[in-house]
Amino acid sequence: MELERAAVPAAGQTRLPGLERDLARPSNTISGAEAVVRSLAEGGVRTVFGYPGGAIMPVYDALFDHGHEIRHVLVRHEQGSIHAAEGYARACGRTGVCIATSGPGATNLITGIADAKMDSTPVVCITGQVPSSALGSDAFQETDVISVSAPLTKWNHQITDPAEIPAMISKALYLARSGRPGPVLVDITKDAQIGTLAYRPHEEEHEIRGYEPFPTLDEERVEAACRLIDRAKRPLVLVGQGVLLSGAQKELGEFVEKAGLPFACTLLGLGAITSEHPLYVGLLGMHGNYGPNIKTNECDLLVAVGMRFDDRVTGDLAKYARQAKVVHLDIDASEIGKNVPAEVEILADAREALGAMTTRVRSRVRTAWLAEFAACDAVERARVIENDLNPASPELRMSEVMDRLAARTGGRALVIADVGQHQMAAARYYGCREGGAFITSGGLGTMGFALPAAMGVGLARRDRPVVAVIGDGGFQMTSQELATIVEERIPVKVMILNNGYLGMVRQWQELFFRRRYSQTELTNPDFVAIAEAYGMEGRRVSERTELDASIDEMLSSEAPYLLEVVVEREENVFPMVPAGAGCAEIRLE
Amino acid sequence: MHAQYTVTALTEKENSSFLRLIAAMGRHRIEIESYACSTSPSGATYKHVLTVRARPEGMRRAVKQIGGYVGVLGICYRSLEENVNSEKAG
Ligand SMILES: Cc1ncc(C[n+]2csc(CCOP(=O)(O)OP(=O)(O)O)c2C)c(N)n1
Ligand SMILES: [Mg+2]
Repeated sequence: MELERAAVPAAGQTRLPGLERDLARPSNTISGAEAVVRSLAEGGVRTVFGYPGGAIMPVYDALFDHGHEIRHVLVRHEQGSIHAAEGYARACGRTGVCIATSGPGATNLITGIADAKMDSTPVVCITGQVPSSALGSDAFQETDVISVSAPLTKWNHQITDPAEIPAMISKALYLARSGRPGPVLVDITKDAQIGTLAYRPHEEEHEIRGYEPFPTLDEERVEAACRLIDRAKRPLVLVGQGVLLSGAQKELGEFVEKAGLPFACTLLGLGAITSEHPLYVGLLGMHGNYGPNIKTNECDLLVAVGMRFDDRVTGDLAKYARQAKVVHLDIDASEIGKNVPAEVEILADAREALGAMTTRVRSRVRTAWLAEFAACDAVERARVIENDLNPASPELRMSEVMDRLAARTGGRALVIADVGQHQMAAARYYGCREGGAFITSGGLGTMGFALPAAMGVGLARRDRPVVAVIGDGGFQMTSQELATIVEERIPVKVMILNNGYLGMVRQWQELFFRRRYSQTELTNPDFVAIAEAYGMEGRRVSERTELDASIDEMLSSEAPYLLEVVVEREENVFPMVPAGAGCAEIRLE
Repeated sequence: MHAQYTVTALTEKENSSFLRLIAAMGRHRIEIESYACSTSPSGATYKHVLTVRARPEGMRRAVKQIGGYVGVLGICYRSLEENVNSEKAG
């Protein structure tokens, strides 16, 4: 984080020294491309991820002179640039920025844009576009990226007039970050990049009609919520990523501790409070813990904070917490009441609302209710966790690998998980101790996310080990970013959990399609040889006796490192709420 | 179960407002029967008026979602029974 901070203007200093000098020039007439770069720098952007091409070349030419202000990371595929920007944003709380050319460059961003939208990640995408005179002519590499990205972005805009650039880049950065964060896209025609403007940094406050990113807290609703909490005998708090996004970890801790509230986390809410907290009762959802899933349908009050009742959390809505009253706190009005109706709806920033609730709520201890979670925990321990961590079989299980990773890192590593069985093993067994220490593609479930995202995390946080946990399938979707990692000397540790299958799909085929393994077995390359070909250290491990030593070796390397862990081929992830079932119909085997 | 509604939305005068509006209707399986758009006298705002067929739940969700979009200044819908519901933008 220090590296990143070093380039940020000091408090009270709004501009960088270099810019100050340039702006003092008698003529401040510059090209649109130059204005793009200056506007980003003025907006506090220090790192961008991108890939050049014809329609964005003027911006790349401007970047050539601004290497001291903005570090450009040349990815090997545009999808890598946006996932890296997402990882960067999620690790340090700043906006991630990526740059691509028109046509295929822009369309290669689309998966990442959808991912960032689902997971409320602040990302600004800048795409080049054909000259405005050629728009609509099916010119070379013309794609209507505004139409394509409209339903996936929080906002998008096409610039054809260079004079618009400072204000629109500033607006893009503001919109991506404020309220419920999300991806925005600015498409800039080539003539707007080449044309000139009299540059003045955009310094005014953004007033965007109809946009209310910071809703006013309704005290009466806070009162009403606290009355329900005070009266409840069996309350359960559901913690989502909104807590992390609003920086409300401390307020959440004070709230649950004062009112004696057990809390469970969604996949993206993990780490909001350490998993070692005595009131933490586990992970929600399809492969979450037994207790919170069962108790959702036995509690008398759900207090949902910054979470959106995603179907992976609720299972069949018709069977979801019908007995419970619901308090729903979220910053996005469209999420409240969308899937689960609430008795008390609180439209607010989580930090402010939790603070207000803590002052009003009565102090309580709920020993008997907590003991019910402990009993569920014991059941899960006996029937699932024991075998996951101490398997009888000689093959390594993903769960024990994640448990050992937690032990060898002391939980200090930032883990970026890809999508599949290994993701669930990481979520369940890494033991997340702080917000932002577990990053994964939640809403979209994008295979190929982890490697480039880890690259962004590695650039944002040099103070921690960064470990990407990836399946053998997902690794092969964005593995070309090993080149970027090596070139940029980002000390990312890549752990491939190789089961020779698209494991999560195979598990479903085993359980719900009579073991008909259609197109899920993989013939894999030699992953260690691939790492070596990219100039990375690598090692393969398959023996339990060598696991700890191999993890230690990986962690002690100061360079990027790839560790292939050969794991049991047909391991299944349990507990599991089968698709279409209610959350309380969770299966332990 | 489908009912007929009139939806009125005010948006910034940006082309992408059409796209977002229509895409959201599609996602919520709302059938558009007619659509008209006019520019406000100030020239800064579009007024979109649609008649649609939808399930009440789909209608409610879509309007709530659209009301939160950047650039949407207001949206309301009215069923044939003249029940007026509105969502403030933001
Ligand atoms: C881009 C993309 N394509 C397909 C899927 C569907 N999918 C979910 S998990 C999975 C298997 C992942 O296999 P692997 O990366 O080897 O991880 P494992 O489950 O074996 O741990 C697939 C194909 C997806 N989530 N993302
Ligand atoms: Mg696999």
